[in-house]
Order: sequence, then C-alpha cells, then structure tokens
Amino acid sequence: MHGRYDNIKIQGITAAVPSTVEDNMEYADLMDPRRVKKQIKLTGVKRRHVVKKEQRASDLAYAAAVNLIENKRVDIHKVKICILITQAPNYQLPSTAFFLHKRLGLDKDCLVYDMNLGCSSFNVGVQTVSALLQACDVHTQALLLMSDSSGRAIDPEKNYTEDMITHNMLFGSAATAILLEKVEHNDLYFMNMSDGNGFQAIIKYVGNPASMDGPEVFRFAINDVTEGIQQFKNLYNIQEDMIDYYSFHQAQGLILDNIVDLCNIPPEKELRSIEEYGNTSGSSVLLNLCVNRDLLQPKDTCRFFISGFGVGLSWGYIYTTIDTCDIFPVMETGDHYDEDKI
Amino acid sequence: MDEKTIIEWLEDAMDLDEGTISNDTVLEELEEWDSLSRLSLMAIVKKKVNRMLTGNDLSSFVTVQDVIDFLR
Repeated sequence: MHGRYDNIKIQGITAAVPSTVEDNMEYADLMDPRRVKKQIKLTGVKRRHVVKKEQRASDLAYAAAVNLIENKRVDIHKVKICILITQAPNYQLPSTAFFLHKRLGLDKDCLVYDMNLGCSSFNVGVQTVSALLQACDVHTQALLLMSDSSGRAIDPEKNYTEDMITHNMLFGSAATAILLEKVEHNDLYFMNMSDGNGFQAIIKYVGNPASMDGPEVFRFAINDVTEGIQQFKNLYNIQEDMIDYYSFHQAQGLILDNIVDLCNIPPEKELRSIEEYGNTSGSSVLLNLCVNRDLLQPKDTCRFFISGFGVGLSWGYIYTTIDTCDIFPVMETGDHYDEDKI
Repeated sequence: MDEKTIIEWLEDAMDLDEGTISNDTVLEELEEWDSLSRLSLMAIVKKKVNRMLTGNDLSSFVTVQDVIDFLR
C-alpha cells in the first residue's frame, strides 16, 4: 500500500550502540582467515558494535529514547504514543514497550505496544504511527523506538559453526529513536510491501539461532526492492533532483552496490555506515543518518529517500524532508538494567 | 556467452587466480565454492547478463561445465 500524509514531521532522530566494538578480523582465529577476509570484502563489514551478555535491546532503546528526550527537550507529558519495534523483546509478554513506558516516566494517557519487524521497522513504524496521529490534535507527539541485539560479542564458551560465524560477522546491535509530530503541514510519502511467501527466507524458530537463505534474500533485494524504488518514484513523480540523500537498509555491501548500480543512483547520494556498524536490522536506515550527520549539516533541511527491507519479507519506501539539526550524533552505551531479571 | 568468460566469472566469484579451474572441475570439491562465492556469482551474472540465479540453480551446479551449460 502507498499514500501521502501532509501533516507528519520527523522532529528528531537519535541512535545508541553498545560501547563494545568487535573487529571482524578477530574471527580469523576461529575460521579460515582467507574466508574471513573474503566475507569482509563482500559484506563491507569491518567492525560492529556488539552487546555483551547482560545488555539487552531494551537497554539500547532506553538510551536512544532518553537521548532524544534530552536533545529535543521533549515534554514527556505530551507524548501520546510509544511504540517499540524489536525482535529481541525482554519478555514473551507484556510488550517491552511497557517496561520502557515505566522507565521513561511517560503518562498513562499514552498508547503503548510492541511491533515485531526487522529491517523494515522504520518504514512500517512511521506509517503506523502517522496513521495513529491522524486522529490526534496538532502538535501531538509520538516516540517510535527501534532496537535489536543481533550483534553479539564472541562467547568463548560457545562452539561456533561456520554458518554462525558468517552470521555473527554481519550483524551489529543498535537502537534508534524518532520523535514524530502531527504538524500543520509537511509531506511524507510512503509505500509498504510484503511477501509472506518468503517468510522462511529469514527465520528464527524459538530456541534456535536465526537462519538466512542467502540466495533468496539476495534475489529479493535485487528484484523486489529495486523494482519498488522505481515504482514508488513513478507513483509520486519523485525526480532525481528532488532527492538529496538515499538511506538504504545496511543489509550488506554486495546488495547495496547492486541496488545503487541497478537503479542508477548517484553514488555520492547514497549514505553508508556498514563498515563500522554492520547490519543493525531496523535501526540501520536511521543510524546511517546519524553516522553521516557531518555530511548532511551544511544543509538546513534534506530530502531523504529511505528504504528498509528484510525479514517478512517486508520492504518499504519513505520520501520526506528532515531538518538536519534534528539528526543527533550516535551515542555509545554500556549501561544495562537488571532489576526486572529473574 | 563463451565458456572462457563464464570460467572467468567463476574464478572471480571464488577469488581464484586465472586458470585455476577448467570445465570438468567439480565445484563441490573446491573449498572456495562457499555461500559467499555463490552470492558473488549471482551478483556477477545479474550484472553481466541480467539473469537472476536461484538457490536451486546454484545447488544444481556440480561441475563448471554445468554452469556453462546453464548460462549459455
């Protein structure tokens, strides 16, 4: 589905990553160094920020949310929606968003729940929150939080298979937080697509490690995602000179190279952060903006084309304007909250 | 597509020196024919001849000759 909102603005973006950094060359001790180097070359991932045992996705989401509230001087009593998108919740129930609602001290007059999505979190999340905000008064604010902890530090106790190492070397952990507000006027165009036929392409059965069908994911990214880019541009007559920057899900280098190539995207307009952060799931498209904020700063506002794609299969596109002063630097955190643990 | 070019693509995908493989090389016996090389080959084929190999196509390739036959 696709559409346009004329009254929704992204008023702030923050990103939090774990302070622990893992260099992918460390895996040369566990796997053929030749293969390690090859994977680094192909995926473009040199280093990743990873969670240690005790740090959870909710810790990162909390850090990003607090950072956003402080930087934007958000009056927390005005926040009427708080949605967390994660695939690494604290509990089977309730939604981890309630735990964050408590920790952030939000009012009872607030809609709170989790959504289960990965790399398309931003696109689906913004559309969902924008729709919810339609019924609210102008200047109502919403917090949209995205967090995953797929990037984990090597556990010396564990025996790693080659597949597990390949997986480990790709993923980083990160959370991002967005302040969305209903405003008098601002355009936000969106299109969201899904294909349940690919539900097993990226899947994690309860109690098992996540698995990914590499060729199928590659086919999906190259065929469906690139096709959608053109379709979305045609729908809303979005010309090349109307886009300042593209932010694609940082799936892996080979996929990004192919998308840019097939869609004739000017390479200087494509933002990248995969080298230092890896694939951070739903946070990658916004982490990408925070990492590259110095590049964006010379302009007061930028028109962004943002596309997340992955597990579901689910993929989407957003075209909107964001003030560059609302994109904050990436913060690192080693904090973890343990009082709810049993 | 001549077979020399296809062999070059395979060598490129597997990061092998030129002339390392021939038509009757069994891919499965090469350590380099791993999941990363398969993705690389998919990308090369897509770029050069705009064809998308599937996971099934890739698993059906036993020898280099199979890849040549498939792409020709």
